[in-house]
Amino acid sequence: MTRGPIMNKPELLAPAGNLEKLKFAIQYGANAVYIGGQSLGLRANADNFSFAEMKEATDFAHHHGAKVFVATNIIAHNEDLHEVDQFMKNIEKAGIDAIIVADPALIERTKQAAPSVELHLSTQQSTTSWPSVQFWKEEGVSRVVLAREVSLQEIREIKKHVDIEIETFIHGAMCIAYSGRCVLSNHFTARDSNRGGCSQSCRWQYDMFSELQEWERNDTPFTMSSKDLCMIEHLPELIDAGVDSFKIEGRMKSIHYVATVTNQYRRAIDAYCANPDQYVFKKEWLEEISKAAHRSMTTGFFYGTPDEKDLLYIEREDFPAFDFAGLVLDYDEEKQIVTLQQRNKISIGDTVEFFGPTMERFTWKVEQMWNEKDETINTAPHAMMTVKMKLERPVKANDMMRKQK
Amino acid sequence: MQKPELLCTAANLDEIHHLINAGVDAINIGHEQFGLRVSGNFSREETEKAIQICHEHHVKVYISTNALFHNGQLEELESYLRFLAALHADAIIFGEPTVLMLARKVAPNLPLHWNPEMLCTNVETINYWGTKGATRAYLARELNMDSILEIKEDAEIEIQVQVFGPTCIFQSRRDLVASYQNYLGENNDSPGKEKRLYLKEEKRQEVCYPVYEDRNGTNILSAEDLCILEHLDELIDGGIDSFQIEGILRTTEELVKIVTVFRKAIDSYCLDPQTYRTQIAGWMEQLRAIQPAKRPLTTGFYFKEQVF
Ligand code: SF4
Repeated sequence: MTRGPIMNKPELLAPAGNLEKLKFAIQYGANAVYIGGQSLGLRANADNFSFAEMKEATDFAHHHGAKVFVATNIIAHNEDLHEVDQFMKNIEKAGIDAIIVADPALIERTKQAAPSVELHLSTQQSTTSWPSVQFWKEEGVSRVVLAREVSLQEIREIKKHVDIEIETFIHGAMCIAYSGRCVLSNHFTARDSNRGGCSQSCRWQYDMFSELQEWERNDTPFTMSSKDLCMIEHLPELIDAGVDSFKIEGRMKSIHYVATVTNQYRRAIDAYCANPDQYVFKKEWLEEISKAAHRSMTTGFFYGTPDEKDLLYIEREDFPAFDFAGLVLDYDEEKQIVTLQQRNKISIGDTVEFFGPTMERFTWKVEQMWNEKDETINTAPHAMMTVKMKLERPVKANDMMRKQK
Repeated sequence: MQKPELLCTAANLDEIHHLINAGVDAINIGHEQFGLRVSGNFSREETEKAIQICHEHHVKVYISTNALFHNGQLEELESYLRFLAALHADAIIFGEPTVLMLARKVAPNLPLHWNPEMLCTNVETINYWGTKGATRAYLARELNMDSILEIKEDAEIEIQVQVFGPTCIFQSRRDLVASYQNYLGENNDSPGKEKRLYLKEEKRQEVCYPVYEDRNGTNILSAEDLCILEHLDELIDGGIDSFQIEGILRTTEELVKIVTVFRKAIDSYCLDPQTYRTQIAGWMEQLRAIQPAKRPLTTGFYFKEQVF
C-alpha cells in the first residue's frame, strides 16, 4: 500500500542564543525555538533574553506560526527558588509557550504561578524508561525530552505505552555523561555544572594509568569527548517512531550554523512527509551541514551504545570549511546588484556561495563590489559594513552568503 | 541529644559481620544490576542472608536500586522489588521515578530513600519526593554546610549526608575505558574497579581520579576522600538523621577502622561534647594513618565556594 503525505509533521526545534538568531532559525524553517532567560538558565554564558526581548521573540515567532520555549533547566538550590514565581509570571506575560524544566520544585511552582505555560521535562532529568515518562505525564508535563541514552527501539516502546509528546535531540554536541550526572566542573573549576557552570571538563585531555601496573604515558590521551550527533540520514525512522519534536542543540552557535543546520532538517522533514514512499535522502543536505558544523558526526545511542568510533581521540576539532561572509539585505533585479551586510572579509576574485531558506544554493565569483558611497572597492574588510555586489542570479533579503576558507 | 544513624556500605557478608561489630546502625548493599557504584555485588541468597544477620543485630539494611532504568530492565527490576519487599528490607534507594512507579505496584510498603547523587540540592524538591513516598533524601555531596543545615530545617523527611569516602563525580552510560583500550588496540578484559585505574588531568598530574566500568557504564570518583569528622558536631546539632560512610575501594580492615572512629565520635559527642573535642585530633590521626597515598582527606564542598 502506498502511503499518503504525513499530516502531523514533527516539530523542528532550534536553539536561539539571541533575538537575531531566533529570527533566522524561524525563517530557515524552525517550528519552535528555545531560548534562555536571564536567570534559571543552564547555559550561564550564552546570550540570554530579557523579558522585553522575550516579548519581541514571541511576537515575531507567533506571527510566523512558531513557538518559543524557555530553558529553565537548572537543578535548583534553595536560594534559586525565591525568584521562580516572579520569573514564571513574567514569562507567561511575555507569551512564552512552554518552559523546559528539570527540577520538580520548578514544576510545582510554575503550575501555581503561571498555569498557562506548558511544561516540558528537560533532558537533565535523564528520563530513560516508559514508566518514568508515565510518572512525569501524571505530574502534568505535556512533553518529555528523553535522555540522549535512549535508543530508537526504546522510543517506539515509550510512544506505545504512554500518550505524551516526546522530544529527542537529533543534532549537535552531546554531554558524555548522563545529563545532570556530572560534576567534573564543580571539582576542576569550582563551577556548578547543574546551574549553568559546566566548563566542558570532559573535553580536556587526560592520562589513564593503573595503580597495579606502571603504564607508560600514552601519546593518545584518554578522552571523554563525543562526536556530534547528526541524525539527518535517519529522519524517516524517527518520524515513523512517532517522535513529536526534533531538537537541535546549540544556543551558543552562530547564525550561520543555526540557519544552515535547521534548514537542512527542514528540507528533509518536508520531503519525507510530503511523500514518504518516494523519499530519497539527498547527500547535499549533509554536505551543507558540514559547511557550518565542525566536528565529526555520530548517531549517538539511537542504534546502540556508542563505542570508540563515536569518540574524538587525536582528531581534535577541525573548523568548518566555510565562513559566513555576508547577509543579503536587498536585491535589485533590474540592476542585478545585491546589497549585503559584511560578516567576513570579501575580496574581488573570491568564490562565494549563496543559500537561503527555500532557494537552491549556487556559487558565484565576486567580480565587482561597491561600498555605501557607490565607490568601487576591491575588498570589504570591515565587519557589518554595507557592500554592494554584482550578482546575476536573484536572491532575497535574509539569504546568506558564505565563503570557503 | 538525638543520635544520628551511622550508615556504611558493605561489599560482602564477611564485611557486614565486621561492620556490625564496629557499631554501624545500618548498612547499604546492592547489586550493580540495579544499584549505582555498589561496593560489592550481593546475589539474592546473599541479600537474604545479609538482611537476616543485620536484623538479628537490629541493624537496618538499605538496598540500592538507584540506577537509571531502561525499558529492557523493567521485568527484572519488578521481580527484585518483590523479592526485597518479601525480605522486609528496611528501605530501597531510588534515583529516578521508574522505581517509584514499579514499587507502587509490587512493593507499596517498602520505604523509599531518594538518592539521585548530585541532583538532591533543594528542600522543595526533597519535600516533593516526600509527597511521592520518599521517607529520606541523601543530599548532593556538592552542598555546603549552611545549605545542608538550612535544608534540614525545612525538610519533611529524613536527611542523610555523606561523612566519609569518595563521591561520584561523573557517570556515563558509555564504556569509555573499554573504548579507549579498543582504540589503542589493547585487548583488556573489562576495566572494573579491581583494576584500580585512575585518570589524571593533563595539567595536574598529582591529582588522581579513580575510574572504572560496570554494567551501568563509566564511573569517575573524586580524587579526595571526604572526611567531615571534625565537624560532626554541627551536623548532629543540626539534627541530620543519617551519616553515610562510602566504603567503595577500601578494604574491610580499613573500613572497620573508619567506622570505629565515627562510632566513637558520634557517641562521644552525644554523651559529652567537651570530650569529643579533645579527641578529634587523635581520631584524625588514626584515619590519616590508613589513607592511601595520593588520596587526601578533605571536607569536600562543605566549606567551599562555588560559582556558576
Ligand atoms: S563536563 Fe562534559 S559531561 Fe560534564 S556536564 Fe559538562 S559537557 Fe556534560
